[in-house]
Amino acid sequence: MAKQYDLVVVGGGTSGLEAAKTAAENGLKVALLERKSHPARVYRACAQMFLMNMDSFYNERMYFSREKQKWVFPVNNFSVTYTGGYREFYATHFIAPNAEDRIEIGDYEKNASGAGIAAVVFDKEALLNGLYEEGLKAGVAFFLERNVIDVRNTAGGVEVITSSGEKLVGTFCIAADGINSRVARRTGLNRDRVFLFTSGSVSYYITGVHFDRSEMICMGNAFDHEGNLGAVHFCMLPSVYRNDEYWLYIAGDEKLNFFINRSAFSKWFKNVEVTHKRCAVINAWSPAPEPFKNNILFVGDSCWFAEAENTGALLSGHKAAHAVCKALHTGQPNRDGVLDYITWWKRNWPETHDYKDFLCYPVFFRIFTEDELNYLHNIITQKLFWSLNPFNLYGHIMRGIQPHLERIKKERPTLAEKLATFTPERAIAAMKPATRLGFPAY
Amino acid sequence: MAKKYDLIVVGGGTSGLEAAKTAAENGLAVAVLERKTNPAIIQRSCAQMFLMNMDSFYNECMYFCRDTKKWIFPVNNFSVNYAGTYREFYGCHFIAPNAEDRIEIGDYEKNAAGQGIPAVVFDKGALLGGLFEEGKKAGVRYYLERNVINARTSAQGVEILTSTGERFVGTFCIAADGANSRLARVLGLNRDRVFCNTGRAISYYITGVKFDRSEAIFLGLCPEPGGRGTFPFSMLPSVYREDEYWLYIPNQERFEFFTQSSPFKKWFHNVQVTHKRCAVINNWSPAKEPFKDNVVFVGDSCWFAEAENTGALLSGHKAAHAVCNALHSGKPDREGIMDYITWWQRNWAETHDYKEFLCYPVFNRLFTEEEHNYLHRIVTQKLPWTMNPFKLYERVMIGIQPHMEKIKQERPALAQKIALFKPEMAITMLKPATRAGYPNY
Repeated sequence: MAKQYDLVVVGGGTSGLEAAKTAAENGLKVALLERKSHPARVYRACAQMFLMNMDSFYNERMYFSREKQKWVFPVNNFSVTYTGGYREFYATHFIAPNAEDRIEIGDYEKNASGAGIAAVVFDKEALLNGLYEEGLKAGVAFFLERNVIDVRNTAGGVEVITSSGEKLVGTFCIAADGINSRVARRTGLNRDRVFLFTSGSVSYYITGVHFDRSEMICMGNAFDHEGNLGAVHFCMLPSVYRNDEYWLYIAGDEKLNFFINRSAFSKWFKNVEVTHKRCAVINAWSPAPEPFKNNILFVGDSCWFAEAENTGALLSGHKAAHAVCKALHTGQPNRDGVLDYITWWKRNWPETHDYKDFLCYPVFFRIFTEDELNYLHNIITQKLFWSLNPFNLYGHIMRGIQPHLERIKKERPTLAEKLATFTPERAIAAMKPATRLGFPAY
Repeated sequence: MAKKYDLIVVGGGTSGLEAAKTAAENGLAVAVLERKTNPAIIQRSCAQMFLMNMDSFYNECMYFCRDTKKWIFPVNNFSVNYAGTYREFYGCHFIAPNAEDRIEIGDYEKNAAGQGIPAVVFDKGALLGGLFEEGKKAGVRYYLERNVINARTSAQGVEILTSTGERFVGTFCIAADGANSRLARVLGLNRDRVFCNTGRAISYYITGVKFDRSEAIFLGLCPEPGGRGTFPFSMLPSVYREDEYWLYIPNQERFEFFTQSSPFKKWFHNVQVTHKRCAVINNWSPAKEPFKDNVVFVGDSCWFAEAENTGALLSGHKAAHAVCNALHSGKPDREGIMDYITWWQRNWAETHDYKEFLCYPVFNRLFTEEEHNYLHRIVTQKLPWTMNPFKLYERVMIGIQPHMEKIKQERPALAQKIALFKPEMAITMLKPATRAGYPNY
């Protein structure tokens, strides 16, 4: 006989733990299934960032209260307790392939001298552990080392089936199983989504990094002239674990080697030591039409285009839990009951965050030559307004280019032509080779 | 030198305490100024009701979680701790002047048998005491026995002055000073509002009440002692004692008539008054927006009575978060708290028309005693549950509708009155009361 719950949460990451804890604190009978032995051990690559309230993300403007040790989400009326450390950083720099020229988003110097906190890196394990402990206290039944392989609709709601044959039934289910959501696949949600690409990457935590203005996130492409690696994309930011440590996201050991030893960027590195590494393979899909199917609410990355990020994970987990509480307590255990969540998600996620805009920056190196990229990074000398919302970055760069278009037309007519005809839709087209190489989970 | 805070809350009632606690828990420096010695001691009349989630109020659908002892507001993502007791009730009955016929809203029998909890009465003292203690823990500075007499905008924000000459400065102020808000008056908010009437009444907590289906709220009309017209009363179970009821009635003379000489006297036997509470309130139309000069208005302070405790908690909580957002995103101004203004306009003013609230209270002026008896008798079907006072008039009208043909035949004059009545007329019909009122412009 399957155990019956008000809510079964699949996945004990940021979004799932927040959802389970919130629902249990509001009196629901909640089970959470998680594959790992301990939800707070983080194995997958994660930048562990929060974009703070100098900008908004999903229309939320979060901040940290040091005194109360809480992340506060003032637009959505809640807060999340956090006793871990964090490290502020001050800007986003797009670095040219020559490792010299850069497009600056945010005013590094002003922010570094206290004008505001643009963003932070935080300790995700501390966050997850806090949520887990709070969930235990609130009475969440945690089922660890459970691999959910299927979900089915039954008279009692949603039946969740694990690889060892266990069955749990919930009136509602929350799918918090991340970017490669099996629940999204099994319910057919992915058939209404556009598959974009499969991406594999490794996060290296490294020491031995030396460069100015290091308290920022920088990203760019290094071009391999001698070998056959082509354009190597990287993203680097300070680590929360150690002061002298950095987080470097790059697609594997071979590219890391090239990047720190042979590329134009090798001047940044001396005696590099890899402290530890984490990996991730992700399937990127366009967002689902709505975050709901057959009494399953989808939260975080499970129905979204990467990245919900930790902000979106907490927001959607919290909101979905409250929607389930309302649905059960108003006698509407169905789509009508959770309409608040569906409406909120649509308004604050797909209607304000276009995944095609997100894709634009990563495909720049496919559209522009190395020389053109150097030129573009060189010509934008003004500092652009702060943002680290990945859905806004492309817009920021385009606005940064705008004042220089006349000059570009004179000096580089082909580049001007490329810029004039570039649209977010073309980013999708430029992704086609990567799409063909991917492993979609329909 | 005035003390400087992020937020000064004027008034330590339901809305003010919730606002102060929430803002302090989110890291703001908060002061509360309250006139009383202890915020948790209730002196003014209050029905102490929460409408539960069989219906919505300000688009919220709240419920109570017994396990974790919290009122949950699932639409607005928060909850409020409550260690006190409460008492469920099952229906809302409109009672005719003959003390017999009634219009039933909600299915008393079904709800009493466990189908749902339409509404509860709760212990407001326990709610406020809890919020007060949580506020203390979060670092709220309470200034008790302070009578706020004025608010001014200064370069630093809002300066609040008390009757003893103390000054407090906050980047923002939250006005939680109730239906007769002094801040609304001194900031000129009332000049854009329509004054409706001054209401006076006494809440009697009484024992010695005997009648069937007692776990309901009764809104009734009692014949006037002199025989001309009727006066309204409300009665509902008390949260304090099983055998106690709360009776809201205009004054002592009518209380005596009601319990001893009126057709309702059969409900009462050896009535004892346990205690009583009073309230005089000025009713105004809602303000255009709940904001002026960095003062954010919550609860009854800018609304038409009743925000009720539901609205008080909601608006206090939302306003506090809006102030947090404004201060932390470097917009200490109207734009910074736009979320609150928009939320209030959408969920209060745009979905709750105060003119409809006024309709039921003016029915006693519109219909004769005999017509009231007839109307209460003819609506025999049970109407769908609500206790949202802004919807009651509409419910009654929906109840009358299927009987209009019969009314036209049997009582053409009454049918005519019903057909012509519009919520706008409630304002006109209140004119004599408006003239007799004491508006605080």
